[in-house]
Amino acid sequence: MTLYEKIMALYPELTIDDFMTVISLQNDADGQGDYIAKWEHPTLARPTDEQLEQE
Amino acid sequence: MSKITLSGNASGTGTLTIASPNTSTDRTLTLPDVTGTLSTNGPAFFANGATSASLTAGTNTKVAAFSSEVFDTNSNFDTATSRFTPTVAGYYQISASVRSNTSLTVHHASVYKNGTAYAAGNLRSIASGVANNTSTVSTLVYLDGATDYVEIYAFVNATATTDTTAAQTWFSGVLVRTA
Repeated sequence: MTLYEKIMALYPELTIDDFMTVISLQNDADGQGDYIAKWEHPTLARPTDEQLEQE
Repeated sequence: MSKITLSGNASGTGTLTIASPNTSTDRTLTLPDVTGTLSTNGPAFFANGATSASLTAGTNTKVAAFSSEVFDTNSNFDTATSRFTPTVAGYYQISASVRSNTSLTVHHASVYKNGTAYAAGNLRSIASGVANNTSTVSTLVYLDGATDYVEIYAFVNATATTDTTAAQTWFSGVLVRTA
């Protein structure tokens, strides 16, 4: 399950547009995987590591 | 009358030679009325995306695909990392095209400077997914000639792979003017 899929499972109301504007996930192709580069959603809190691990 | 002064450099040991071309015609070289450093031919590169790169859905993914150089005049492009790190400070025109073989509704290429989004290209967004999406980006960026680097990232709505056909996925850059 990718980071994007985990976040979508937590917040199904998010849209692909949100990930191009107020949320930015990034993968630098360096073997470190996906990470949250920006989380500026006006109402939804940035998920914690614990929340993401539970997905 | 204005003057011309030739000034050596106390730290250097080399000899600067101003050479005449093979011509029988008188020529005049007029220097610009500004302070700065004249530049010779600056770095330029063009690389094709010969390696298929995976793009993760909903994620700005570095396009680690540019493994085939067409030219790289100053050896500043690294095909192993798909990263351009010029050794001459100045303003560079950076362009790229990213084509994916997957049916998508969103396809978006961007230039990243030092790992951070710098300039976004055209956003291809269509109601129903079609295969063979292409997104392009072109921008002007200052690079310090030491540690600054640029890379290409892509954003897609579903997991995809880049097209390895020459001239479909590519990355280029050229020094426009020195700092």
